Amino acid sequence: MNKVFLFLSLFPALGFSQDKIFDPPLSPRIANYTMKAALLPDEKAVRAEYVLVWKNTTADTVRDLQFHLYLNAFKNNRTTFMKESGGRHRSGVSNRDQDGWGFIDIVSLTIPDGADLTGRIQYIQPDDGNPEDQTVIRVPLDKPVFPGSSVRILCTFYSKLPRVFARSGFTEDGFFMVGQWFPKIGVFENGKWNCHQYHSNSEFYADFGVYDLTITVPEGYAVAANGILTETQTDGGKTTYHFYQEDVIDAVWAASENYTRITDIVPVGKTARNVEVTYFLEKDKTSHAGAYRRIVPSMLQYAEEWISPYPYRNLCIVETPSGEGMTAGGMEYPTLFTTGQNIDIPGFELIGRVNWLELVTFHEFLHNYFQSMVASNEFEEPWLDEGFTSFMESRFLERYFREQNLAGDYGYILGAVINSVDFHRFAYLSGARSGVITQNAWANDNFYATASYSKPVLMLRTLQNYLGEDTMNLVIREYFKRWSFKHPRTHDFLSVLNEVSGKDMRWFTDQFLFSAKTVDYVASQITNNDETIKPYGWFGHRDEKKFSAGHAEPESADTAASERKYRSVVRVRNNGDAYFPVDILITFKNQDTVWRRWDGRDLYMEFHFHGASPVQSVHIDPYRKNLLDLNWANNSITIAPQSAGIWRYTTRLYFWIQSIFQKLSLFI
Amino acid sequence: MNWLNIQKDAWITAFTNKKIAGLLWLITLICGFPVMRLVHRYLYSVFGGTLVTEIWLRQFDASFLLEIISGKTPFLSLISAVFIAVLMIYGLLSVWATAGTIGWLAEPIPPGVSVNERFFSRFSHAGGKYFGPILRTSMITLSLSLLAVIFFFFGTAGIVIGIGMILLWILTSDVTKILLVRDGSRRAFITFLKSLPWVARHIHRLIPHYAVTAGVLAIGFIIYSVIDGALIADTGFKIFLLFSLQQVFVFFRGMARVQLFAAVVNVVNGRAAEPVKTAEIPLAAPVTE
Repeated sequence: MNKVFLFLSLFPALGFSQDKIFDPPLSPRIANYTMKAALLPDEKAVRAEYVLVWKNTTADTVRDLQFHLYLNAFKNNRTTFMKESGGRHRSGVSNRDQDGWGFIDIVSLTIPDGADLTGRIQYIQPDDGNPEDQTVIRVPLDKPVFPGSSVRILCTFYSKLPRVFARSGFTEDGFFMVGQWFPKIGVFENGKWNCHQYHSNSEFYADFGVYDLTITVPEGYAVAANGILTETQTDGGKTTYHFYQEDVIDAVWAASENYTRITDIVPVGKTARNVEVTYFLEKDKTSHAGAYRRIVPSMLQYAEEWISPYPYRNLCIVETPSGEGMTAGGMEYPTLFTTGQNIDIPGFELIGRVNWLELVTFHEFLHNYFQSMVASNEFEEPWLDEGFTSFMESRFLERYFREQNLAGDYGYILGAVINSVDFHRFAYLSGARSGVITQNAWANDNFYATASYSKPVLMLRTLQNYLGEDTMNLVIREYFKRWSFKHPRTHDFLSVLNEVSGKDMRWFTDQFLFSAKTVDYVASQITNNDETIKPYGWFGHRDEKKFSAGHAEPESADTAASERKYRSVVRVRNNGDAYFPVDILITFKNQDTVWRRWDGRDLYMEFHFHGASPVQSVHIDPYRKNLLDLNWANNSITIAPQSAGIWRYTTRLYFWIQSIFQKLSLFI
Repeated sequence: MNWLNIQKDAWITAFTNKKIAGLLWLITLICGFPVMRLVHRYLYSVFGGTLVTEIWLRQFDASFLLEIISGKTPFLSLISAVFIAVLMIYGLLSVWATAGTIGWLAEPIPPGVSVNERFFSRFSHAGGKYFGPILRTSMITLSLSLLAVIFFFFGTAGIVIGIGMILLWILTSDVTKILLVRDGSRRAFITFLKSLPWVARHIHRLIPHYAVTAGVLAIGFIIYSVIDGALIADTGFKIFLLFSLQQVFVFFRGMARVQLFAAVVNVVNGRAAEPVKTAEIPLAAPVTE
């Protein structure tokens, strides 16, 4: 027996008998962990052991096991993660002190009453063949796991946490974000293991299970985890917390002696259930709970209306500390998510507002739905969780601030409203043709954010505009209902989309999901030909005949108008290689309007008009249903240009420039 | 109530010397014009024939600017370069104007010279004569202020310290400039160093004047903002009206700068406002038979 196991076994048997949370279970419960962990603050490490019960729910015989050792990504500068990221991630920079690196050492891996697998551990690199990368191991079994049977694994390990710069680790002031900290079994599907290396832009993929987690920390440390806190015991200078959770894909916890827990009971929308919401905050910042308290009821309500009622009994919000701790913020885990310190710039409220806290809180909470419950593969299809989460986040923000009569779901600055759509369009426009949404996380680093977040948001919102909000809500709800607690792929969502909408949307998804095609409609030309035939000659009968020389003034304005005849041609063009049906508004000089619809398949389209008034303006997609149009500025054209609109803002710009000059003159 | 009299005199000085404020306003107008014109021409070339301008008359929609910002770095680079260039030109003109202003307010009038000698010749003479020392003082102030910005990265306390330091440099800079002109000195750095302890000792006499000026400007800005918010500039006439209001505010800021200099000149010279002297009226001789 090694020292670690002896160390842990010295703790009094806690003897918890845990009541079931969900009956029947919400998920297949394939990977079930009973863990005991001890935080070693001086070593910046965790000593732990677990018993894993892994079930083979497939029709294939499994002869080996594969595990993720995510913390090994921070072991040295030659790992795949560090090479791809260059040591930079989430605005943080890796610390190269001896203490700053992280790793997992598996002390022992055994099958109780069976083989010792420790010596069989092999490091593999299924993605890039980098021999220095040790984030995936393969362990051949002496006895296969047959379909329907399970295997018990006892693992003792030592997890050295890195100085935090990419989600997990410790900060200099004693905050520990313990995420991706244990050897996590991969997902066996389609006859093989899906167990990718840890890449700079990838996240995670795991099966559902029950997590029974016991954490021991020095007395005085507060702990937050993604389970229900069932027991706390203090003895001999140590405090032991017991957390329990069912039907989740991960276990994560945070600890610090500078933190405290504040717990509220919040009703889940209009259901009869409540959820225990824990805010894990620095002791001198407990007032921050007020800000979250304003947001939490709305997010639970919106989720219930648009997706499904939140099913868990608990939710934990960890506000990471400022400075390097911010790189652990803005991260999602099942029933727990991290935010960060609201960025307060003194005096900024005079010129604007950034809805940072609402944005992060909604976004990370929504990951409970898209990632934690609809557990898609974040390695291979990151858009399925980030795209859907960002899409719903933008809808949540819009509604939240609309209900408060505040403009700008992302905020405003100097009077200019900033909306999520504008933000994502900016990201999309910066490299619209650089990649496709469905690329994997490490395929194209430069396009990862656009492919996973921004373009999916615009695509899904355009889809919503096309189908209508009610239909889109039905699609989302059905998608969640069918694929929660499962592992959907892109085609699973598309099947739901086509079925619920009653339309074959392949024309849309083939262009905007699976390809880098773009659409750019241009209102290119208005031509008005005056075909009025001025009267020359004799008109009328017998004695009433009158001669007109053509240049005579008309008898009345009405007569003039009725005699005018114009042949107008409006030409619109598609400069892109994708198409999307759009409505076109044509306005005539007499302010009459007509609508035309164009499917956009052809290079250009002409609309012809004959009437008493010439065409004055053309506006393609005036209600902006197609958010993927590369350029909205060229969607309209007018023969009566107004310069006042430009003068309005350039004079304001003039004033601002003068103001800047006068501020500078304080120093001169 | 000494400082009240100084304030009163300073405002009277500012109002009776509106030409100075006018000159300061004109400098900002001229220097800002190239940037404004460049932006206007570009926006017109992109949006002039579209309905975007009509939309902008109703409300500002920043989304159209994305098409300009995204992938249009040459335009942004040009506008940035022009802005930096005019900023530097403005800086130099402002140095000249500051020298002229302080010269007008603080330079002793040589014997035999009329106080009503032509404004522009006296102003520009002082502007040229003290350009060098004022420029050097400005460079010192700017450099020290930039160093003070480093404190901003050290939390709220750092921000407070940094702002305090910047204010100290501004006060010292103003006093230095006045001393340079009053004493006819050209030793900017030495004078700055000597002014620093003086400012520290007399800060209680200086701060109220800066506070009053800041307060007046704040009130002015609030009034402007209220009118700006109420006036929906959706026609050419209203746009012109708003522009005029903005220029009035810019002019007023220039006047406040003159007022502040006038007040600080009085503080530096240690002059309290002298009581108004009234001529003695002799008693009427008694009526005699």
